[in-house]
Amino acid sequence: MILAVCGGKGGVGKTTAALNLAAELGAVLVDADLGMADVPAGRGPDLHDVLAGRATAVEAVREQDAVSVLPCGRTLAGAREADPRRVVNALDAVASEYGDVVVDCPAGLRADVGLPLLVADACVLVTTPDRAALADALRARSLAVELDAGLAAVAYNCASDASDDVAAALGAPVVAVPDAACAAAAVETGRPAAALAPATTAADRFATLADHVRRCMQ
Amino acid sequence: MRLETEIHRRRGVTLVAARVVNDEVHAARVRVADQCGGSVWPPREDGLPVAGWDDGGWEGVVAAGETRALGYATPAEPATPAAAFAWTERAADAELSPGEEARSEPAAGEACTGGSGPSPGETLAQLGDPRPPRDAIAPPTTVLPDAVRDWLDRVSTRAETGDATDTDRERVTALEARAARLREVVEE
Repeated sequence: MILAVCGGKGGVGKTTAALNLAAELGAVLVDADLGMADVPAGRGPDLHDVLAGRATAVEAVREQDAVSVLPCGRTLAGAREADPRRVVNALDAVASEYGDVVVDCPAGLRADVGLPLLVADACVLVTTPDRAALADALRARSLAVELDAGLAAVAYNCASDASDDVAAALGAPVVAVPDAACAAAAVETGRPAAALAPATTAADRFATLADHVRRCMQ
Repeated sequence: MRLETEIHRRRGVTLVAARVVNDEVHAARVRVADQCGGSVWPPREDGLPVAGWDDGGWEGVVAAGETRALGYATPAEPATPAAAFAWTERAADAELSPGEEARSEPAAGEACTGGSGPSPGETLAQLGDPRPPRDAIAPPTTVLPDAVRDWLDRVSTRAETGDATDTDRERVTALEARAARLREVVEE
């Protein structure tokens, strides 16, 4: 299964949600933000190398304890050399080798979001209660529908309660994720909330979100 | 079938303008092949070659009585004629040029996503190329050894004026392969 995590607006917590979902689902996290990667990368080939034909997708996956990651390079030159179309084959290859893949999509609605959505079986939208973020989430939803990536759930970030209005507008279950310090720490360390702070609400909500995804894929 | 060509040479680039005139009573499928001997730089939309173009020229259907205007660039020296028909054949009247066909045919080397959805190439064309512009990337100059930098500068100058040689191309490819291999070793 390939799950795309997108949202339109930047800074709403896509990477945090993607990392935690990957941990819950036992999936490989692919950082598909070609221009501004967030997921920590060590040494070795990354997604830029894969999209430039210098490495295969499977050999660029770092198998780690908490979450296996296919990181993305952070240089403009690397982003320029990458052929965005190759992400489709790359995600397919990782999914055939590892089973489940969670793709952390960039902000915006350009082809670097559209191509993962094209190959994804489902998507999770991430938004905050902010009006601008909600408007962008609606646009991202339209793109996902057009590209046949069913909306599994909405991660309603920095919110204490789920909103019925948001669920009705986006047409999917909404899971509120409180703005917990552990969520941000998750991306810093590359470890999910469930590992850093197992008994917190945030960890619990990501587990619920993962349940929605599993149900959607059955 | 008639083919008229016109050539302009500017700053090391040959610009070829061609007109395909089908004065027959049937639609014709034609291949217009470049004769200058270099690589063909086809017209592009959103960074992708327009349908019908490939490395060697253009292929498509010209309706009866229709005139089709084509244009491309090449780094090669002008030839006379700059382009010629590689072949022409009668096309079914209902047959359309690649550009007018349902644009779902996956281009060579592109993944087929299965189902009836758009291809990766189409998605890229519709949503826009996300890559940063080439001009945004400054080539590194300070960390390179002088001799390497000077050689790269000379190759770069030749490439800009369209005077890059086969040796340049071979050496750049070899350099890339060697550097990629070496990077793995030094980073270990």
